[in-house]
Amino acid sequence: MKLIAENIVKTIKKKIILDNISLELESGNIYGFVGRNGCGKTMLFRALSGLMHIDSGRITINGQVLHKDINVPPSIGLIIENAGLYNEFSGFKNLKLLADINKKISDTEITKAISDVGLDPNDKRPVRKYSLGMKQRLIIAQAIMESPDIIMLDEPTNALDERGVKLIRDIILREKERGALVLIASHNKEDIEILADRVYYMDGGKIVGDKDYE
Amino acid sequence: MRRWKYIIFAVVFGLFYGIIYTGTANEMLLSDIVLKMGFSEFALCGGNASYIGKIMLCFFPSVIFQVISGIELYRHFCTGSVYYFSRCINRKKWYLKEITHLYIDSAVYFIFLSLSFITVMEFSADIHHNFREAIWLYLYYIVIFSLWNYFFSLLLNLTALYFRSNGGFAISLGIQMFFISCYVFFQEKLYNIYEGTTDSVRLMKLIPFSHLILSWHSSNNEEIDNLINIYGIDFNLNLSVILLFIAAVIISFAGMIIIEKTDFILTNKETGG
Repeated sequence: MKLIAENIVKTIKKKIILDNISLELESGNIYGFVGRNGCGKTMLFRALSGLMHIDSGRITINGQVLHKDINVPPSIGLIIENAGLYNEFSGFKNLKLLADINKKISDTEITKAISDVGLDPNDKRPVRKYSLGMKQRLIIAQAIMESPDIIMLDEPTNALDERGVKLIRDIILREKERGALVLIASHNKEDIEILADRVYYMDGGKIVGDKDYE
Repeated sequence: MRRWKYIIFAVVFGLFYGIIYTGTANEMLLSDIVLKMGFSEFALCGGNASYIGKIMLCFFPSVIFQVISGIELYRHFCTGSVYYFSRCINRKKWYLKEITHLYIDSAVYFIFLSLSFITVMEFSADIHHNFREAIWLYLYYIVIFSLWNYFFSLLLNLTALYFRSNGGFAISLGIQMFFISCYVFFQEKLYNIYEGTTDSVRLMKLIPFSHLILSWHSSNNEEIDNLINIYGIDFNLNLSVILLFIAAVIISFAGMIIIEKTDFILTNKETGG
């Protein structure tokens, strides 16, 4: 799995949000994206996941051009900051609804994904009654449940307690071992240091530096 | 489950309107029942503004259908849209599937609405079963009404993407109210002068709501034409079907372009997330 971004540019209301970004990312690695609020991390994830059109440049996933050959990467698990789930449904029903789109997994695998993030798959409460930490765990479960080739996690450890953070870090490392291409945007320096193989530093919609970790 | 809610509402409204019309006639043709569903009372009724209220009452089942189906597509662009569409590899295919369901929902709704209405009328009056004509008229009724409601439900869904669901509903219903008002206004004029004039007839054909009034249409089939076409106006049922079909195709195509090209997922207009 290879994700290549070539000179991507995005402008919203005359403001440059992504400024000539080029990346080459390969499976089996974790890539960290670091930068202050508004530096373009979330927008970059939206562009790479196909959820946002770009003004110029090209994004290819295994040779397939985004928005030309495909609308979104064929196998992607995603967490975008502030994006919610269906509040009126239970956790299981939420994941079932999403899993039914491509029908890649069974109810057993949905149940396992919910258990893996430390939630009760039999919890019938609607998601609106969940705490912030529980919602975050459920969102992580939806991102990993279909064992996607690409996983993009925007602030994955937001709202989690210490145990939750450790659990999610273990899951991310397990996904890397499985061979997934993992992208993480985080304010949490520790997350990046522990997890990332390479870190990209962003500012003003640009990649201003990168660093490899052993 | 999705289709059950349409069926339940359709049956309830069919029974309700059936009960309202109970006792209005001792003897009826089966085709007259179909024409009643097709707003036959409002064909050149010579009424005034008070007719808007009466028409709206009969139009209410359509409004209910549009309320229920008005967010069928749009809801996917609100909560959960990021996670929904990140799994939608081919958004065009998704859209085509959704609008096909929307049209089927519309047809199913009007089939059940009319069947339940006919059932009540069967018990409340002496019905002469002129099946051949009634079935043809019934098919026209289903096609015309389902296309009309498909068009406005899809319009509601698409405008909601820009103006939220309540804005979309206001626009869609506002347009229909405007058409109904135009109809009432001009048909009053037509009522006074219809004999021997063609200008008013031509004008009436331009008002979209006129296409829903089955009983002032004409038909190529003589037997059906004798049952409808009470004013001898050349306004073919097939023309209404074709025009509504073209409108449905245009809005479907426009919707495909809008959904394919626009980044609605960037902002959730309902909850701001």
